[in-house]
Amino acid sequence: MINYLYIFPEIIITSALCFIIVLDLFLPNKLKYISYYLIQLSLIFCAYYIYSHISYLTNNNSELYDTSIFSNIFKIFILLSLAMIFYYTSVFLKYFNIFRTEYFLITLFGLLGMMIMISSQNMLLLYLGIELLSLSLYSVIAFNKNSLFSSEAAVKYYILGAISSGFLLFGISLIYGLTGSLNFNEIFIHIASFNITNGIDNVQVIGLLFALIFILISLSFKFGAAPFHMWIPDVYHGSIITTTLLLSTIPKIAVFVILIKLLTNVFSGLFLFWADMVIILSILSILIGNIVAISQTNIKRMLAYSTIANIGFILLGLSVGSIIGYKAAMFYTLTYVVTTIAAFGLLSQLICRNKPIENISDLSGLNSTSPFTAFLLMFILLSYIGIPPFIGFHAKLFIIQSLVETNNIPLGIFAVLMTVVGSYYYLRVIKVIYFDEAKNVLASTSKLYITGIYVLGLILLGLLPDVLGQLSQYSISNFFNT
Amino acid sequence: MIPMSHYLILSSILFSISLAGIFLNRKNIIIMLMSLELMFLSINFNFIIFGNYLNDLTGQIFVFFILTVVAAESAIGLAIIVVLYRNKQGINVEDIARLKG
Repeated sequence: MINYLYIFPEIIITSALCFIIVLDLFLPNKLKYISYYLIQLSLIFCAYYIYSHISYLTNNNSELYDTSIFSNIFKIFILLSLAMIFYYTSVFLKYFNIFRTEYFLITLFGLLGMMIMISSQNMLLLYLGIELLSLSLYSVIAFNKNSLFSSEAAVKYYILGAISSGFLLFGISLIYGLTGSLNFNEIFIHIASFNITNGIDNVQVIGLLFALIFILISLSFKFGAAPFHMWIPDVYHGSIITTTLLLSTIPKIAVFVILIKLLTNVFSGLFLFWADMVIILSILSILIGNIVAISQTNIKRMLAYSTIANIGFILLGLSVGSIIGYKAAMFYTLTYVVTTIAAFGLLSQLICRNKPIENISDLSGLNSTSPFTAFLLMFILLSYIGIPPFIGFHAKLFIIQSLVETNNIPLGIFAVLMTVVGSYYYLRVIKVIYFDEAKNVLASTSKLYITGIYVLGLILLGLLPDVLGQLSQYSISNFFNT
Repeated sequence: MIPMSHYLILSSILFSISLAGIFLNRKNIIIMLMSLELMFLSINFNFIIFGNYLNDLTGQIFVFFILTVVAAESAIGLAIIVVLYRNKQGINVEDIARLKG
């Protein structure tokens, strides 16, 4: 008998979604904020439900849907990040008079897709989760329907996203044909039974390699790793800044979980092959991300390339192939998401000539108009670079440490060197903020209290890196014991 | 009886044709959508063949899921193209190059 209580978090989100969609129809425009608060409430309640019922949820031993501690921690993290993102989005949309509840509701569909992705133990479920996420992202990007940039970005993301789902499905179909199953555990057992040490003279192993390559290509598309990164700068540039905030944070967590599950669990028998592919992906991402970012003038494009570089670091941690590397990669992912929410959130609250911030030069002389904002932005950028007291430092340190401990010293040196290259474009923004003459009057759309508290939390996290460190240690070791 | 490899070669050829159609097409986005549709149909073909070969229903069930999801996907794609057309008065592939850098 199926016990539906294990998917109660998803049921909460779905029922809140259905209820608010209908409720919103009957609310006059003045009262639309009620549905916004209800959405926030359902997110917080869902996170609380998972937290308070975590021991019950982990009893689930379903073959289809995994609610282990590992996936629950990621779900809580995604729910809380989304609540933060929704706060920034509502402030931004209200200021520019384009507040529509549909934006949040469509994003909730994406959230549902991510929760299904994270919990999936079956290729069919994985596919449905990824599609639910991408379908809602397509429409969220095209949300600003009067903007040419926005619709162009949506078309680009749509075409490339559809190709990448095609690749994923082709890989899944090959795996299905070779192993006769869609279940992660059964596929794992099948792959382990093939004798791979003899080299790739076996037809089945070649087929499996093809499937692995197809699936890896598709996931790197979604993740934004280097040879498949073309959509990232365009889409980040084209969509409104809070959509960029949404795109650059939580979908990455979900794809990261899928990568960990597929690579280290399902395809662990093919480690010899995927390790090299992941190393190539990460080296290219770090190179392209850091070097192309130098020449960018648009701040959203610059942060897009910095995203690509950060993805490269995460993949570097995955390529190590031991628990210490996975732990470092998870720590890096969480840190990246937390920092990016602060960066884009702060930028979304700044306006220049009654328009959202577009170019780096818009920020010039920020220090003279509002020193507090400049201070916050400097902290966030220093954390991106990886300057010691901030959280970004520990993230980079763990990745490099895991590389050195597994005797991957050349890769470690490469990572350090590229961090130096990367610090150039972050420092340039700090220079523009502090030393350039103010050309524009910058204002903020709201009081920056919440952002201030958030950045304070970021600094505390940097001073106490054990908080995120223990969290990733706990969840990764839990994942590998079960 | 036709050996299975023939079917697989056919579906791979269809997949490659659709990929080429997407990347070589320089004219119309609608043609891209048609190529995408062809891509998913070739994958469906793969699933049906494997399902038949393995005597397993899962593959055939998967096909129904793909069909529905792809229908939803092309609905959203067409909606996005309508939005683009309103802003741009045209849907030429070469013209959608405003975002660069």
